[in-house]
Amino acid sequence: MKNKLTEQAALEKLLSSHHLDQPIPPEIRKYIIGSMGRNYLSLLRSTGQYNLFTGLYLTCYFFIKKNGVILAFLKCLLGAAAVATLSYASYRAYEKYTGSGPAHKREIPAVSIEKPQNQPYAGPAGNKNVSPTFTMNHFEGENFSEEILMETLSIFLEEFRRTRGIGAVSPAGAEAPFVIHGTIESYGGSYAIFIKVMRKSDKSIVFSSKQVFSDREKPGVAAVWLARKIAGEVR
Amino acid sequence: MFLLRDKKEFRKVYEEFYPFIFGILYYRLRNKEDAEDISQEVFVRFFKNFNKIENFRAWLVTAMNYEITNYYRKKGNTSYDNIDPLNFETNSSYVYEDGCRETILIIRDAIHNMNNFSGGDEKTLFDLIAIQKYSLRQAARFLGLSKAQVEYKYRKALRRITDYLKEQGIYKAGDLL
Repeated sequence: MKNKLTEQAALEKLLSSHHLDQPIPPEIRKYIIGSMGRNYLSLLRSTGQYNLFTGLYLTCYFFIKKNGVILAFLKCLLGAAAVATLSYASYRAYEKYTGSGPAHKREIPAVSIEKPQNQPYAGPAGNKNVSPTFTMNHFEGENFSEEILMETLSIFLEEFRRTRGIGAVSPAGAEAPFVIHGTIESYGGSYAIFIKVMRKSDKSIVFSSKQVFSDREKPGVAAVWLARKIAGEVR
Repeated sequence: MFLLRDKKEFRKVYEEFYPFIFGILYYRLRNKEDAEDISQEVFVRFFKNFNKIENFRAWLVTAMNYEITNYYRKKGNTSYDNIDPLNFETNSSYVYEDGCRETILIIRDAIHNMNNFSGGDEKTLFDLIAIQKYSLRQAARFLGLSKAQVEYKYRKALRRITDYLKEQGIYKAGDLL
């Protein structure tokens, strides 16, 4: 290693002693490094290749090149921060546009959770024949099988009719003042049923709530809980 | 038509040769402002002909010699007559100094023979460090390499030059000092 260095130093000295080198003074070397970006931009201007974006990009590029590795690291950090900000902004924009974000972030009227035993019991199904107050479509949920969606609907309707009366809810298309719309979606690490009740006359949402459940195959308990809430609150 | 790909390629070549050309110009003219103006003229011409050029290095050195004369002619200054318009790589004005003509010719041949370098960028790297005395770190920035890469390539070039000198009968550079 020492021999190598000695040989290297000897060769450099040899070049110098025979005037085969062309040493540039340190201050001029520094000037050359500093002027490179400026002259490159000036070259682009004089050849008609300059635009604002190119100018900004190259100004940053040559600044980093001039100032070395630490700034290159800062550039990485800034890049990562920019990507994170953009991702978050896109997510928020998507959420706002589609309304598909978590329910607590949407403006949902707060509802008090009532215990099922406090709900007025309408009597055994079939004993109280009332005119339909609600219509309901099938539950929707892209990531759930038709079987689970149907089963959820069945449990929901059964509990709803048990609480509110057998004729209180009818299939979609029938005449009724309220429409129930339900979806089942992934929610964080688990799943949730989202329910909205709309008043047909003025299209206003009179009820909105969700119930989280953890077992993908068993949304029944959540469906029962929501059926009781709607039956008790929407009049 | 200058495509984006060409622009990137041009920028890479510009970064590689800008300090080298500016350095030669400064060394020859001893005037920072003139050297900067002329190097700018050279690179504008280089940009316009970029797609047609095969040997960047040779083209730039030739264009540089032409622009030196042109620049001083435009300024109405005849001082360009005193500047050697020849390529510095073939300039023999130093060869007769110290009376060891043969040796100097061999060394000069060794450092300008492209066969002693694995590529054009290694030659530029050698010129920047050994000839123009840029630091390893500075050369690394121009060439877009790490300091360790530059150091490795520079050592490799030196080894090849030393081997070449040995083939020519110069076994130890130190002996000639």
